[in-house]
Amino acid sequence: MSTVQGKSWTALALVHARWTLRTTWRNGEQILLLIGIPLAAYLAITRTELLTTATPPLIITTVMIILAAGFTSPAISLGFERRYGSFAFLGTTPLPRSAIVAGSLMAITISAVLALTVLVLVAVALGQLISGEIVGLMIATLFGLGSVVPWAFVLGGIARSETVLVLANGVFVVATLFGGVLVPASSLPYGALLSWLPTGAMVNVATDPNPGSVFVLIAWGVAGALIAVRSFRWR
Amino acid sequence: MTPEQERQNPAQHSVAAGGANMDALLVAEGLSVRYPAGVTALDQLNLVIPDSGITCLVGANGAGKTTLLETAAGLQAPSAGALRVRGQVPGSKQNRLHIGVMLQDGGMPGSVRAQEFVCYVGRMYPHPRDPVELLKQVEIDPNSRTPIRRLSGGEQRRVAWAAAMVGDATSLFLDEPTAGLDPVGRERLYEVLRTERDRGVSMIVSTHLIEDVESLADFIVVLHAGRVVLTGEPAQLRPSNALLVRSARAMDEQALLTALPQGSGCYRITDDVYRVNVPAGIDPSVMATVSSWCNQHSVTPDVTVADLKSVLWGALRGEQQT
Repeated sequence: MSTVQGKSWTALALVHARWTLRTTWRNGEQILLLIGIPLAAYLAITRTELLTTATPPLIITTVMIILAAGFTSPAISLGFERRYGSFAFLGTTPLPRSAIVAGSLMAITISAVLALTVLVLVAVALGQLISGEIVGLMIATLFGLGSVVPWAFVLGGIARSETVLVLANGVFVVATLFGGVLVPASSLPYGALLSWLPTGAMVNVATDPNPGSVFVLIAWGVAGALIAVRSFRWR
Repeated sequence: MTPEQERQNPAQHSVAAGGANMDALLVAEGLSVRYPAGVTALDQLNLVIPDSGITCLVGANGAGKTTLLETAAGLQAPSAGALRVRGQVPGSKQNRLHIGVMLQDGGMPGSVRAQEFVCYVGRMYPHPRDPVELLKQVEIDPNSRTPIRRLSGGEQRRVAWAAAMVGDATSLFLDEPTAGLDPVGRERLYEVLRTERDRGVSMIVSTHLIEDVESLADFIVVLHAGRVVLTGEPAQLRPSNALLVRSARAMDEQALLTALPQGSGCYRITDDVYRVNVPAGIDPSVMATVSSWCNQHSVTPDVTVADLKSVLWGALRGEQQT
């Protein structure tokens, strides 16, 4: 039997990352979710009287993008890939599961950065970027993604694809509206609880980077990762 | 399987001899796969599949074909027994590099084009074949902008063949590649697989169509209810050297053998059908010998020359054969 040297793990993870990016940014609904809706919210807040909120619009939009790119979009992709049997097929190719996960994580991060770049460019073009916000936004992006991405694997890895579609979009809408993002936590009766949720904590970190809120995000990320590792079903 | 039947199962012998069989693509010893729901898909299977030519894995729906292929591809863990593929644990790194797999449900994303998908799969291998050439070979337009989900069922099968072949595998596992194909599409697949065989690729092709077996098989494995009921090359199974005897009364097989040339065998397929193997060949004198013996020892016997189809039909129904 001949022995062939396969491609390196890194090369395989990159192949999958590239593929995931390609399929994500090809899909109109995903683009709407990653850029369309957050940008529409940003313009509605900054350019119209439709939405008024005490939270800085750039922070609101950043949290929406993190939620879309880190949770809703990958959960839906994972759910459908499971339904199509993609992971079963990939399990017969040289692509190891760890490289699938790593490639997905790379693609998620790149998608989030791309969407945030578009947002920042729009904010700069409108002359609304305050340089002091950038550090908080970067910390919120880093830990915010870490807090929600594992939950995309939890939802996308156990539920039927149709259920994933409904829940992932539902969580995005509910968390954006009532999770302390569009409507500030201070105006909600349960506002105090929201600093314990990823959305509330992300807003807090972006507004005022503090160890407590960062810890909340890390805790959500670790809990999600532990559940995802145990519950993810490849088929 | 009773001890008697186990002794008669040739697969058993080849496994025993096949411990050192370096040319085996697949060796199963006492392989069982049980699903959590309590279904036993493979039941103490003993099997050796040669690492050359096309092996047709035949069986009715639910016989265990898909489970065997998925277990061989490393997607399903054995519940008991041992399975080696190319001498290695199923799903090993080397096996994943060397074996191209087509699953029954394809596993292809619906939103992308055929060429994109085959290119993506090709990038996982160190020396992929040209996706464009492969798609042309299976008669799919490489430049088509139609997403995979909008292709017809037959076209989706062809894309899945191309995806299985793009890694330049030395072996292919194809799970019902002809399912849902029209006769022209099946003939196209036969040509593709024969070309692969000529390139030295060994294959296991599962099917429930006897026509596929007659067109392709260099080696035949028939499964029934999770067990092997028949294995062999078509020439061995082919009926130039076998008779079917229908007898209303039980016959003494051993007594019949004494009347036949040395090396002959006889076994019971069903309650009233016996198969008589005469390796020396069936000629009029053998026919006459068997007929006259049966006329003396049985009631209204009917002696006919068996053909491959009749052998497969019997095996598909689960008739134990030697």
